[in-house]
Amino acid sequence: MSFTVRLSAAAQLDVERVGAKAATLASLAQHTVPDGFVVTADAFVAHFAKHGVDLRNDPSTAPDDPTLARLRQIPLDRELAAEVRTAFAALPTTDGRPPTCVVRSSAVGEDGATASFAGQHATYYYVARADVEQRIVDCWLSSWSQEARAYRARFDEGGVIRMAVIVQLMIPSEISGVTFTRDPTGRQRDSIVVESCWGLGAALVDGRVTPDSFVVRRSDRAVVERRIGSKRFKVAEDLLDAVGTRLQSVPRHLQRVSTLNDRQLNDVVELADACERQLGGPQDVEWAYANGTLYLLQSRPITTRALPAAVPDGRWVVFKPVLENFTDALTPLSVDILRRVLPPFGRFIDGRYYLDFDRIRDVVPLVASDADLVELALLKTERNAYQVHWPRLLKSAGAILLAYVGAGSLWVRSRHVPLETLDEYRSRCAAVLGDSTLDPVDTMRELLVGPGPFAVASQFPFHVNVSAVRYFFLLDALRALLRRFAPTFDLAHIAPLCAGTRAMISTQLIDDLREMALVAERTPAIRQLLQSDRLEELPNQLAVHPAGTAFVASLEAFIARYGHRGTREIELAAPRWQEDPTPLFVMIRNLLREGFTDRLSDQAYSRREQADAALDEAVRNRPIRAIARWLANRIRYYATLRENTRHYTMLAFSTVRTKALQIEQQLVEAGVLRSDDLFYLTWDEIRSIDAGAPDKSRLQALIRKRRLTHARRNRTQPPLTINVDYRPAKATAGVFTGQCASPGIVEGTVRLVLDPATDGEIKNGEILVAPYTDPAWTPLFLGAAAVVVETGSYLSHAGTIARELGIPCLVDVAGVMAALRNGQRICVDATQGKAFLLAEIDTGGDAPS
Amino acid sequence: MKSFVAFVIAVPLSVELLGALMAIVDARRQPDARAAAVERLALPLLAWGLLWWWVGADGWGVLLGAIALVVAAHVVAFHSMRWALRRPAWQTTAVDTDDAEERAPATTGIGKGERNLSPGRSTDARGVTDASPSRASD
Repeated sequence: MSFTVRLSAAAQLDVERVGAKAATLASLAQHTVPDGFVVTADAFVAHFAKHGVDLRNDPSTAPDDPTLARLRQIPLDRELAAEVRTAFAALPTTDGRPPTCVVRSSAVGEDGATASFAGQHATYYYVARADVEQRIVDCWLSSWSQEARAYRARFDEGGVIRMAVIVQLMIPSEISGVTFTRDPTGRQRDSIVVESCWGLGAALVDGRVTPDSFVVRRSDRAVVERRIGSKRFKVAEDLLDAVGTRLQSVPRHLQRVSTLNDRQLNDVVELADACERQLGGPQDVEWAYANGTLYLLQSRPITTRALPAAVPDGRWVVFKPVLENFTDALTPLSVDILRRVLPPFGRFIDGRYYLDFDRIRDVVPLVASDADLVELALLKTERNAYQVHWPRLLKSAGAILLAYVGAGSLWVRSRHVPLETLDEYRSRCAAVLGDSTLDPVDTMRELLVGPGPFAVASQFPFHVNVSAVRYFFLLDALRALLRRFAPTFDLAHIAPLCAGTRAMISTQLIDDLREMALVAERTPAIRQLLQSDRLEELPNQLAVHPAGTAFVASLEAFIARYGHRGTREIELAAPRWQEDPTPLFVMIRNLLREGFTDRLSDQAYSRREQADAALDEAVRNRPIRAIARWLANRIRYYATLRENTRHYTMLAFSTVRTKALQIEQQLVEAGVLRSDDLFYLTWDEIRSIDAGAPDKSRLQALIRKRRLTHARRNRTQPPLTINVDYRPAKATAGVFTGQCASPGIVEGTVRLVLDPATDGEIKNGEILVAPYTDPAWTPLFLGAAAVVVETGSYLSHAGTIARELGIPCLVDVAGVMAALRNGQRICVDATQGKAFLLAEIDTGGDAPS
Repeated sequence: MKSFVAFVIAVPLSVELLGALMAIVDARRQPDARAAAVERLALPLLAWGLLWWWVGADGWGVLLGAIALVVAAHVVAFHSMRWALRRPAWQTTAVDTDDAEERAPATTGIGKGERNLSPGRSTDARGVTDASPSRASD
């Protein structure tokens, strides 16, 4: 009996012999399927029966680890090995060279309708002729991996283990992906979901990248949602040598570019649809593009027995101040460290921070329904819209009094903290960083809680930041005062009146960036280097470039002051500018291309003077004018204090990250972890690794699982509430509603930006549309005619900087990223809290690029 | 009664006074800011003097008690916060709905020298995407 069969002939054999995966692939041979052959399940049975392995699906008789290690040393039988070599030799060669193959499982029962075994058995890429036989054995042995056994125990009903193995030509995939012919989450009924990434699909299924995600309506093939993922890595489509690194960085300019154009997307959808029609049920189709050809790699039924996700107990509302800085889920290490320094008033649920809604209800002394309270917690409505709940106020008063007696002095001090003194926090961070007895958790605790009860205010940037929120109440007071006593005063002037300070670090950051751009402009050679697509190589080029001295000096000065900043700063896994200054080069290039304006702080100051003059004219009553001006001064101070203390709070996060990276470096050198793995473990797990000999395969499996979970979570917006009856107002087509963070009306072309580090270029006059913003986005605001942000509030960074710049800013505009496309024209009426879709003038701009 | 009322008034006044005094320390390296901070001390000091005048010279004990209370509360609040954040019961918890398992503090055998990567969890996936073994998930 032959133990190998050509893949194209596998459809004629019983599924019990070749496994469902091979049989399905063979039956889909009319599509472009890479050639290959199958080592049948009979070979598996014969091989292991000969060596006394009990093949029953019974955990008690499964081979243990030493037995598995012994079995790995046993080669294939001579006859089977000869068959394999013959079948391999029959495969087409690549430019006269022996082909490279993929060796993958096709177990009986795998890819079934109820249990997919996805990710349970091994696949080996880049397998050369000499290694095929060993890889077949390895693939077989993955039947008894702990993961496969656990999965089988959960889903399988006994029987005998049988595994065929597919040996298939390796496709040098430039683009790979997965198509679900039904949305597996059930969110989008009658839709086809496509996910794609650069290079091999292993990066996608291992969670190394957040893929591009497209939702296509089945009926008319319209793309109803497209999210361009952050594809920082790819698994190389081709390997030049045996020890080459398979995980490669994706060039920065491609990280946020859509992997698929509309035609390719359509072809991928049609391929998946054809598979579904032929196989008679919803399919999960893996595919790849190589040299312009679309290959079908696998099709399996969408598993219908997925375990339901648990709904946490209690009622929760998302913590808006974190959400408005970035909407991604935090990595496990970030969650684990942060949860240890936060009091139990909230909970991290799936990587997002939520507040205990019932606790909010207990302490907020207002008469409000659940829905109203949610709106308040999400900073969507004003407090003065509700009546005071006196019994609750009295109940809260005790706690407020206690807090005031215990911590009120800091509240008092933060009224007049000299802003320059905040920089003293740097030496504190440096001291903590140098203290080797402090681990990352202790570091976070030390830096956030402060060194002692009588330390200077600069040592408590986090607390001072919180206390600066009082400017929101002062703003309410200023509005009320002007409405009452100066009805002719245009309230749109309040924003510039309360802005225009030269002390705000975020505006200084832009001014310093502008100075760097000026240095670059004066040096043609540097300008030339900045046009490169490979900006990540620029630091090395600058270091040896004779004309680079002045620019390098200004860059070093900039990094010394702002190097701890970057995108998604609360996320410890996110790199800072001091580690990778490439995003700065993108911003400088943008400035060079779009031209310079005056210093931002000068512009803001000038607008403030105009608003001051308008106040003088509108308010004749001198005491009222003095009160209004005092309020404006206070608001300006607190807004600046809030931005500046945030700058230093982020220094604490950066210090913790540095500590974590030091530990990661040790574990990478010890061969336990790979780069970036650490952030997918909890702190206790890291300590346990340090304390004992880790089981590397189990560790990698755990990390991979968490990467996948993290990547999946990042593809979706978090629910605003959990177990609370709250339904946000439904949107009208073409009309987007949000909150006004900076007033004004402007028309312009949409520019979607997902990440300022990778696609941070914007033309003057475009309207910046972003999922969230933090200081790393600030330079993009310079050229923007207006800013529209999917999350955020009046207090958020976007609003603060837009007010400094005097441009309209609309925040908390739900769904705007998915609904708008580059090139469309919109009108932003921030004053009314709305944006209107006008027309699409450039249909080619279907994604951020 | 007068002493009680004086004490009630003296407590927030002590908070203001302590804050104003510490603000001078905050501004110690900025001459202008320091001078301004000293000026701002005048108001709470004046209020303090008025209160003392109202309660009488013999009432100093009440006022000193208020200051002592505020300073003690300040110290206790700081240290209790540091202490509490090291107690698992006072830390935030984290939940993964995929695992349906709460990652509560101190449940993973910290520092016991045992490999304890994820007790009670399945590790149901595997894969390698970088240099070492040529293995990935299926």
